[in-house]
Amino acid sequence: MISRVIFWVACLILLLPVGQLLLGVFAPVDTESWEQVREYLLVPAIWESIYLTVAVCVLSLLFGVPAAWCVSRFQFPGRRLFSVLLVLPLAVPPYVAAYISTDAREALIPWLVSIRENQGVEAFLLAERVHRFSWLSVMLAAVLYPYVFLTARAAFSGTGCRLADAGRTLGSGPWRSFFTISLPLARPALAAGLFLVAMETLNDYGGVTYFGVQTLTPTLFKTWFGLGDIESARRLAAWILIVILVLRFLEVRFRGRAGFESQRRPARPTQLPKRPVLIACLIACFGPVLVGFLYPCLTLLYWLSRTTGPDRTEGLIRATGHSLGLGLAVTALCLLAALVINGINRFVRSPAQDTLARIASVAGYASPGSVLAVAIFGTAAFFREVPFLPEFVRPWLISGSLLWLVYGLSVRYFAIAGQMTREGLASIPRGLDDSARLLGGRPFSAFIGVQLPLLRPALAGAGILVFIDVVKELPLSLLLRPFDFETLGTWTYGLVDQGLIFACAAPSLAIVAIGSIGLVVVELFLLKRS
Amino acid sequence: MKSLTVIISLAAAAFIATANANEVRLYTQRHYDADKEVFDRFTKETGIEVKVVKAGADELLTRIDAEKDAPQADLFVTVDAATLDRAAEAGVFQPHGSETLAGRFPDGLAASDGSWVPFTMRARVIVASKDRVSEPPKTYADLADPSYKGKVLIRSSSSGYNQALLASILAAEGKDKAVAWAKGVKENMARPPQGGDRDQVRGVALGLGDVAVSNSYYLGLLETSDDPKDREARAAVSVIFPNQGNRGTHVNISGGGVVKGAQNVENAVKLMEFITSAEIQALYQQLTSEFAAAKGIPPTEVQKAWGEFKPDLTTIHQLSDNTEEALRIFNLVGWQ
Repeated sequence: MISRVIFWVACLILLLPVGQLLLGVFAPVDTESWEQVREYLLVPAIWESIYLTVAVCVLSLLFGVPAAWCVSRFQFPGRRLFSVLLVLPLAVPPYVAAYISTDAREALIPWLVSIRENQGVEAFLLAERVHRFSWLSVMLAAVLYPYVFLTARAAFSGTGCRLADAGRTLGSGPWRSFFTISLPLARPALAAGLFLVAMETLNDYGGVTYFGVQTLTPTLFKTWFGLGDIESARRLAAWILIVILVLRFLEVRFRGRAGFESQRRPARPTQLPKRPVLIACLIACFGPVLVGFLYPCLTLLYWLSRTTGPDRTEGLIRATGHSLGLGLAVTALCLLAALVINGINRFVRSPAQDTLARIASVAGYASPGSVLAVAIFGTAAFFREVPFLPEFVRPWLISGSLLWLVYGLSVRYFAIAGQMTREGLASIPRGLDDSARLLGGRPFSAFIGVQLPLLRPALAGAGILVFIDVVKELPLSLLLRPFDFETLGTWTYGLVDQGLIFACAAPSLAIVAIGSIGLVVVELFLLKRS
Repeated sequence: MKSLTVIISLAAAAFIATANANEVRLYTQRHYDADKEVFDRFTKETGIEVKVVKAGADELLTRIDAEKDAPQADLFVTVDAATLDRAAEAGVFQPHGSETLAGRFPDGLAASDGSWVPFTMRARVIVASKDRVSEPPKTYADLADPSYKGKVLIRSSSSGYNQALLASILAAEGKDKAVAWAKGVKENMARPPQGGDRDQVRGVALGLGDVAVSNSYYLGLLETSDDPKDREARAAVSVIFPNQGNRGTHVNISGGGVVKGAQNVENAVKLMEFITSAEIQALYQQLTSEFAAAKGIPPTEVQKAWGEFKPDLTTIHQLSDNTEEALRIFNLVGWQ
């Protein structure tokens, strides 16, 4: 009984802001501006969103799947190194990836001008659009593909690997075994990775506006800022959220009972590739690292070397401290919530509860950051009106208290911790629970004693992803922060906003460095265990 | 885990908003290095600490609205007259009540009800390639002329600066002319709108377009940039103050006002008086190339090189009433 109450309370806390947002669908809005949104903005925005999301997803598959296949199937020099390097682009925020391509894009302007001179304005406009769209898709995919890579690698090196080996011994060729055995088996894993890629793409604001691509997120901002109409913006956000929830639901239904096992002991690749395959492996592994990590890092280092102006070291150190503190606090809260919700959900089985847990683990992630921030303001105002609160609690409830920032970030990134823990738990056989119970353990002690140790890799992976996302995060931090509180993300934004593009290299590199260190530690830790 | 909790709660305690008598708290859309320098000087002179949250104007207004029961900000600062008037209309400000402030600005620049005051002005100028354009456009209307087809660079309609420009055209010339203008410019665009004002100027220097629209102070920033490419871009274009033959060049205002229910009203007014003092206005011109809002401040050398100009002070307080219509027109003609 107590556990049920805890479960519902935890889910409620996580769903409170999003629930408020969803009510926005029914709230009355200034119909004139909503009509305008529908008439002029919505349809093109939906198309641009679809184009971009599909392009980024396809590119992410191209970047992520072959590389994952190579590192999990073949034994070649540099395999372990690549296995770690291929995850690192995750540490580069998408908006930074967009900024750094400025120089390269400008270098191509003379080519565009020559098209206009030789082939006319129409050809030029088409070339310009293709050129811009391709850059954006490639840069976004280059820093988002690791989601696909991580899930694909886990799938390929688990059962997929053993079954593919079985297939090979029965005479199927390497291509056939890949396309008919490994790839279909990895489908649920790829879908989960692609879902994250799609979410990040749809939620990106900095990158798409910098490239002048009008997806749903900038449209939402336009509604809010331009038309000054927060209600229409909220309604739009609520619709986006509903569509995403439906897609998620369909994905889960479509996947059916096919879970993906990320936590089983991976089989060690034994196959020594022949020379052409070896070259292909190196290209498949080095390409994504080059575009997604080396190119951004080298560009930032070059900018760093050219930074002049006032000394910003002190501010940078403080912002780093804030980012690290926020990252740790939010990671701890998310993991705790994930353990509580998923743990209880495992022992107390009920379909309603399961559905709630699923919704709670998508909702925050699927809502645009700024709109979530507005919802949090509402939550804060709601709590301030609660009567009979002890006085010492009051200062915490002021919007701009760190409490709300931590809460907002936790609501947003719980999705990652929640889902990874869920998948992790799903791969632990139910039999283990029963054995522990048979031996007299209560559910709680069985959970602590049996499942928690087995969950460690999943928790470590989830923790680092949450941590990195918090360090990279922009809209929530920007909006919910206390006075004089800079994170590395808001610091970068402030500098770019002033046009100090070289100066933004230092905080950007700090974000990348923190993320990379975290990823390397987890990768080595996880690899060592396997 | 336990030690982590301790660390987190200690860190959090440091950031809890505590009421400190000697401070002033800003919600601002602008937090340039120049502002920081001005605030540092203010603290040095008065002992009053300046605390800042920087974010977009509408986001900050939403936050102010959500905090109505317990206002956190003392001063709201933004970079657009329409937003300032809209905020005033929504009851965000309380009158500053300072006589020092009342006499400082040219007639009609500050809010008539004393709710907000201007800090700086920015002119929306046209730049043209020195090499390729022998007879540069003289008015905003010229940019819609078919002879500039495929040659105009201008940023997106999400930019508050463009919304204000179209709102001023709406206010002065009416809807039909405003629609025709937006349509004409849209058809003349060298590329779909992207990037900021600086990117448009760079685009002209790189040959992508022949003319572009930019805020004046960005030219100053390009000129004093640490990137040689920026300085080259600035050198490649000439600056035109449009509409000198009629109502004058469209200018917009960066300014602020005291938030209703603020806890440090006196300090907020002191800061506003400090920012609009002759010394600091001259400093702003030097540091950001924005124009001083207060009367009688001579332009800097960089600004003098652009030439003298007549600002359009007639439409400034009509911008907020026309912004929504301006957006409708942008949407109508398909200006992204």
